[in-house]
Amino acid sequence: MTNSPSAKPALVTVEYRITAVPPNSNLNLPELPMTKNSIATGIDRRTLISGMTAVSALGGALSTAAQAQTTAASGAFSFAVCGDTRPMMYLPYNQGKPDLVKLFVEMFGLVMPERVAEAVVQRDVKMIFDPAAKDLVEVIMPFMSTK
Amino acid sequence: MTLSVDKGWVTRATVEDVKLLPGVHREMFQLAGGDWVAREIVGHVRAGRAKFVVNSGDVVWWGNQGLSINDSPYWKRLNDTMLKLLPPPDDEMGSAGLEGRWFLSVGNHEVWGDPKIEGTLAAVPYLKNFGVTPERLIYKFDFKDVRFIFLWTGKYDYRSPSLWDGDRPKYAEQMTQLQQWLDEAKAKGIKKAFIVFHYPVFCRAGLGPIPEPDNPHKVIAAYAKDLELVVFNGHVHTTELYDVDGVKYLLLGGGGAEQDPILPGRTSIKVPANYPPELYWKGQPPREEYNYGLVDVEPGQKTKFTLTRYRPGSAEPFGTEALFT
Repeated sequence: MTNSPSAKPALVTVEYRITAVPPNSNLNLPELPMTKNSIATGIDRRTLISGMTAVSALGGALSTAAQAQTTAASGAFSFAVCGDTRPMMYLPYNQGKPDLVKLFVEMFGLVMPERVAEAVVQRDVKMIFDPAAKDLVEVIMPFMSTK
Repeated sequence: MTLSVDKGWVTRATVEDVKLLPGVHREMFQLAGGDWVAREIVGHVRAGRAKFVVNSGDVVWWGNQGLSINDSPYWKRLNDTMLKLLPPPDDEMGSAGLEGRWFLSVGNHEVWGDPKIEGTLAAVPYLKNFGVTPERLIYKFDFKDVRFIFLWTGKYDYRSPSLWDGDRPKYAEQMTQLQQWLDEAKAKGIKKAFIVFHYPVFCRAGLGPIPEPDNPHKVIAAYAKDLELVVFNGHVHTTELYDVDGVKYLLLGGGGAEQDPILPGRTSIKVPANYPPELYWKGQPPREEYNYGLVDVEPGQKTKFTLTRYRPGSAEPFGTEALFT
């Protein structure tokens, strides 16, 4: 009738395991008292043994359930997705590099004949260089809209 | 258009409408947007939040300034900001035959000045394991009972900028291959498939959708009763979502390129009255935005999509939202 130190851990374990049973579980478990007092007053050796057996069985069932969950989870994964990630043009930036005009002609050539593109670049593309570092810092060019 | 340049890179692009709004320079590009997307994605992969990266194409400007990581500033930048930062594939990926963590569908920019996709095959050589060659730009793989299919929509033609004129192989042959791959997936009991190609099946802005008769929606939708199907597209430099006949379409054009569909005259195109509703902007005009998606796949569950974005100049510059909810 006393809470002996040797009995308490097992009973606490039983109590914890029982609360872990999922709702609507079909496991045929013995009804065990859920309060400390009633455990102390209502339990006998037979109940304790059958309870421990049930715990053992439940442990196996939970283990199987956990394994199933792990199996399901193992099929899960995530990935990242994106598109149109390219930057705009890279322009060799030291003043005097002849490539710049050629690059713009090649770019405009995608949407117009090369000869026209060359004329457009010569006429409409303005490149501004840093006066001290001589680096290209700004380009002003036409941008055609669809309307 | 005014381009700001630093160390050769265009860092910002603004456009002035000299007729309607002279003096106002509207920003449509900042280099930081694409770099932010790359940093975020790399962080997610390194943290284990994402296993790998799927890119719907247009990852470099062109091949006219070099073809490889060693001589192309574009491939070098992609390598420095993404490819070399990704961890090597883990055992699960290895056993699925994935020798890298970054997979793309070839976009029109990858073949501009590089028709033999030397840059692509040099940067991600493991695509050759799936049968990708300069003559065959399509492939597929399976990972954890999910099928991934990558198709090739073609090089750019300004006369019809979204026309499916891919020739390696041609459209009809790609559709036959697509059907075969989806039939095979069904036969194997696969329940989900992601199909990736550059030009958009549905689109309400910019360059517009793949025109008929070579628009693959009907071919894809025929499988929607048997498979959960998701299509990733790009090309138009904005973001749009559609859910049509059981197929989810994510048009992911916010990865870093200039957002020209935000400009006057490009925000919307004429579509038929019964055109599928767009589920991202929902009728509002698109804004400059850089974004990426995280896709959570779980057997027996509907796939979840989460988009994270950066909107320069917005009162709420950063945001995350669940898609298709």
